[in-house]
Amino acid sequence: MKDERIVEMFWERDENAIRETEKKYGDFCHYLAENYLSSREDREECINDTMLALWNNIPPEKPKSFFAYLSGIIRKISLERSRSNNAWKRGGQVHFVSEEILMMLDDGSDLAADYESKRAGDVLNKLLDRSSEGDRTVFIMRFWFNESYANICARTGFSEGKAKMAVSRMRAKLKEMLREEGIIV
Amino acid sequence: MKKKTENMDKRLLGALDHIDDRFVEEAANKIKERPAGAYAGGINKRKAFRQMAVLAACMFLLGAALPLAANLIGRLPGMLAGAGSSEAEPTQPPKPDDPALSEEYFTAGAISHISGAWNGIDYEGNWIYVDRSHNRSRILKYDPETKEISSACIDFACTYSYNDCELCVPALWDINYIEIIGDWLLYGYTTDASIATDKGGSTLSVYNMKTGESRVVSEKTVEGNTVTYPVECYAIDGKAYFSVSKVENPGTTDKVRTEYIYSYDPETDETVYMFEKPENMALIGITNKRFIFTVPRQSLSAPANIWTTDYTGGNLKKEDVLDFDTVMVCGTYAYEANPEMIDYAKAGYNLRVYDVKTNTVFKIDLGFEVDHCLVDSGRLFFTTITNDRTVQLYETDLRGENKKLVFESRDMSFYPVRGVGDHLVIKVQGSASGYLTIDLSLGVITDIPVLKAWPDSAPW
Repeated sequence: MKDERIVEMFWERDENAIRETEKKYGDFCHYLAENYLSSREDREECINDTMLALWNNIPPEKPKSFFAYLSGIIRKISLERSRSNNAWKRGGQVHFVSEEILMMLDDGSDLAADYESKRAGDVLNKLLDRSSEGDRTVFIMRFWFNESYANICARTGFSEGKAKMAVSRMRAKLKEMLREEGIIV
Repeated sequence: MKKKTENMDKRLLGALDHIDDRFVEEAANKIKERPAGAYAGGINKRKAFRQMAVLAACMFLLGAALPLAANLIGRLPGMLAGAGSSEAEPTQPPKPDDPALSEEYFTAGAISHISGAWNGIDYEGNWIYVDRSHNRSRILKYDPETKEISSACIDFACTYSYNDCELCVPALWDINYIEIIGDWLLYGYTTDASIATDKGGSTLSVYNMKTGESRVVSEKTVEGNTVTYPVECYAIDGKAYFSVSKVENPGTTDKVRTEYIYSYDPETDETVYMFEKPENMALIGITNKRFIFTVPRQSLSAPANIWTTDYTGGNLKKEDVLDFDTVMVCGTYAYEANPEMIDYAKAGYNLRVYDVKTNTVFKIDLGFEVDHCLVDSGRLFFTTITNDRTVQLYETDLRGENKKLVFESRDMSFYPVRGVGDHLVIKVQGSASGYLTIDLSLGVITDIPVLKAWPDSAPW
């Protein structure tokens, strides 16, 4: 099923939208969550939270790229989960991870930090735009998908040295650009 | 020291959150097209094809018989089908030279974290080490492929400042040791210079090299007249084992010290009490079966007192054979070195080696006076100085056999610091003080990415 149709089903509040999403992207969601979480139970919970987030956010959201939107949510939830797991145990507090992430997605809080992130994001996009496809792919796989170098090399055909060099170059350029924009000193 | 991990991580993560969808999709398409592992032989196939093409072209140009060229081309499919298994393996340091490791083995690296005398750890082909310049103690990463030095933390815009970076502490404090378990970096630092009077303190922390998550595992606590703090930590088989010192009435004649051993799993963040340490003994290392302790010697000339227990703290026994303060271990061997691990140069020096498989000690005699020695990932490196002041670097296997000259220089004095795959980091002494990298496969210094003592060149 095409992504546009899945988004329409969310808008129509058709619960089959979740089923279709799982059918089409279930494996990918597991793979992405696995890059952040070693526990199977955590991964499954994060995927469930992702589906809930999709249901709650679409509408009013109407993502142009459903796949990128879905990936962004599961990545954020998995990352947050891997960090907040132990805060939960240590302090005895109950962290409803999915609700916190949903709040972040709703863009409700911490406007200053969000503004800085957006500026940094604009700079990063400029850099990615200027970079070669190879460098860009390696960078995103490494930092967005949290892939190991072994997997990156297997997918891109790069040698490990070349992949690391690409990442190193991008990082240096990004640092320079962030400084020029005054985002870091 | 405040931990500001969340702010720094948020900045980094925040930027990543705003990446254009098209970039994510572009990368995702690559992932969907080529699942990891499916192309393990892909690189080799292209390489094999190029090699065959070049060879065939050369044969043709040299006027080789057409049937011979045809034969080579005919073999091409077979070569492509067979290519892949051996060369596809990522470059790894050579394994310990024993064909069958015994059931018992040491932790990888230093058996004893002697400040300034250990050489860091390997993480994904990078050398992770502690740098103590610029009035701070910080954990850095050196990548011998890209020749880049950076903070070991994940933040792009790391300021290398102890106000912002998890892996940096002020100079008055000190990062004493580091260990690695998977992606988890464990590091211990003293937080109070008066630790020697037992009023000091220290902290054992853990940092995830992929996500930037950080936690305090154990830290100084004070309750009335009792102070507790972590002392030492070693990692083996996915867990860390650390000792905690409890001191009652510190700094007085009524002082009482007890020490306890704990295990820690960074994946589950679970700390488990194991046993009370034998009295008056210092934990200096572990194997997968035993804890290794030492009793302070009465004098430097007296033999070391090495004791071991099992993992329950039972079976305490003195190890008469292991009568030296081992510093470096690899696989089933432990190598004797002087505590400073700086200079072994003694006339007729023989390096003593303890083999845990056979519970015996043997000597390595290379036929020359050893200046420095490094044991690293399945091999030994030795330097010696010849009569004409040439510094020679030799490599041997873990038993000191199969000696080969790797590098030599008359222009500089140096010693080995750390091997990372096919590269060896050496420390240059004297007026040109700094670090260089040797490419072991070529036997030459291929680049000069000087990891200087950072007075001038470092931008931070």
